[in-house]
Amino acid sequence: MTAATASPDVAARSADPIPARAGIGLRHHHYRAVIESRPPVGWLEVHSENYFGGGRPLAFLEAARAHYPLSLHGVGLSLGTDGPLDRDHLARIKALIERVQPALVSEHVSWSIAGGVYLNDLLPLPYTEEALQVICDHVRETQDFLGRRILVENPSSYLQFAHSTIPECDFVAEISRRTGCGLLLDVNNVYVSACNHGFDAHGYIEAMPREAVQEIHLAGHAVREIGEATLRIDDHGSAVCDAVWQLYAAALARLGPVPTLIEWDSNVPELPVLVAEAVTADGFLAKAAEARSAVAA
Amino acid sequence: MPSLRELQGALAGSVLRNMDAPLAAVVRADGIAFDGRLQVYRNNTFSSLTAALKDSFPVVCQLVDERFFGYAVQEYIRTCPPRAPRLAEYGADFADFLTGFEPVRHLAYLPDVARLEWAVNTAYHATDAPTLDPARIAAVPQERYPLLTFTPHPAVQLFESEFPVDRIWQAHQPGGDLETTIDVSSGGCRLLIDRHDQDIRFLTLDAAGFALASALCGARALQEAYEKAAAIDGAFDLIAALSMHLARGTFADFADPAA
Repeated sequence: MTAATASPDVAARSADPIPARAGIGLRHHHYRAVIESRPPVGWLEVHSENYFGGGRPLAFLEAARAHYPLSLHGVGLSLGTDGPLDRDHLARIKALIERVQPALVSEHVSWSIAGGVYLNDLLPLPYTEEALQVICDHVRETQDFLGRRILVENPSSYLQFAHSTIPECDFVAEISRRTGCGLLLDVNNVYVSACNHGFDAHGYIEAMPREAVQEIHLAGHAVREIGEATLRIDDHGSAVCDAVWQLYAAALARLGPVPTLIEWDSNVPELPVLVAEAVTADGFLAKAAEARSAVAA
Repeated sequence: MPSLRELQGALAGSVLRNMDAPLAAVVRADGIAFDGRLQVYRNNTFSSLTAALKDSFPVVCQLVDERFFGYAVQEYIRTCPPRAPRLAEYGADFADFLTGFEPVRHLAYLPDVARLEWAVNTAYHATDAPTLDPARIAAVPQERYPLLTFTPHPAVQLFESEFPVDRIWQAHQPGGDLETTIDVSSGGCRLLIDRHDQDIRFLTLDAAGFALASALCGARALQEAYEKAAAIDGAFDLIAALSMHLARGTFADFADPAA
């Protein structure tokens, strides 16, 4: 079942494709533990921006890369900003790709830069034709510059713009249709945004073009009371909740087994806790693979 | 309806300067007031940048305590927000900000502690590069030495302060000695900071040694660098100093204009 969901161009580029198994987000707390204990996870993902220099971070990444397939996940390109892409940033991503040979490279359907200031957060776009054109131009420019297909991830959000005209799921699907990019379906983000904005999470997943989804993200989120209302905050600070596991099962039923990443970025636990989440995801993936072969037989 | 560019400018103004009003008609309320929703993004930006600055300036944070540090960096983030989407580059001007920050004016050494921490960060994150093989210098005919110039290794940082900030820094490392009082007027320090097997090293230099290293790292020719050192210390031993730098890997490369 390895890489059954990866498109041929991505698989052909890498000698080490991402298997349809669970991986973990590698963060600096776990460098040593991952290299020394080699946990039973299928692959690793890192934030590209943390490895633009040399020294210890890059040395650990290369040591980990020797044992696991790798995905590079960017948080700083700001594909949704109305303004030129940062070519220096793109060049650094390209240099890192050449150095560590990732099987997947991804970014976000959001923006972080306005007027030359970097806000270090993934801010939401208005879902308009204007914004769609801006982000599609930037995805094309990125893919042309890097000479490969990228994936873009659906955001979590805490507000909606009154002038949005396109449902988010259609906006995301249309980016893939227009640019040929793949999609990184963050199931926790779908759940968080669906709760925050009152849309149907299952309908969102139904709207994703099946063949474009090459990776799934799972994470925990926080629940915050604001006055009488509740807002779910995507803080990657806890275990994946039951409702998100259920939505994940529904996504796999539709998509088949897809490489799945466990992200944990705040209140980061000891490595075994993170690995246990990945083992749980592997259980869902195994069931999805069985269901698929039962249908094929 | 605002253009995308106008909307993004307005949101940045809301996040950094609490200017929420222009967004009142653009953000749907849906049970939570628009400014409550904007506050989530403001929190994300400020808390993540505060955490990044705390990682980069842990000693400054310990010296002023975490609460005051939070207050100082909030002002810093507003005044000098990040200009590049790479957190390892954020904080280059934090020392300058502290110099002009009235509430810490009485802590004259604090900006220099921040400068030292920034130098350590820069060394830590610098790109990898091979060091200059001393055999390559040994192969140059001696009469051509005066005009040789050197390229410092990307990790090498030179640091000078009129305060003993190296001792303050050491005392605030894990397992450091926080019991012994450091007299801030007990003399300054001159350091060459670099990276060896990925660990940060401090080399303490005297005034002449620092003048030589500064000149060489500033692409001055060996003769000129030596004259700067000799002007401070007439007995300066150039061969010993150069051998030491070559053995430590201070340089990545050299140029011989006569070659």
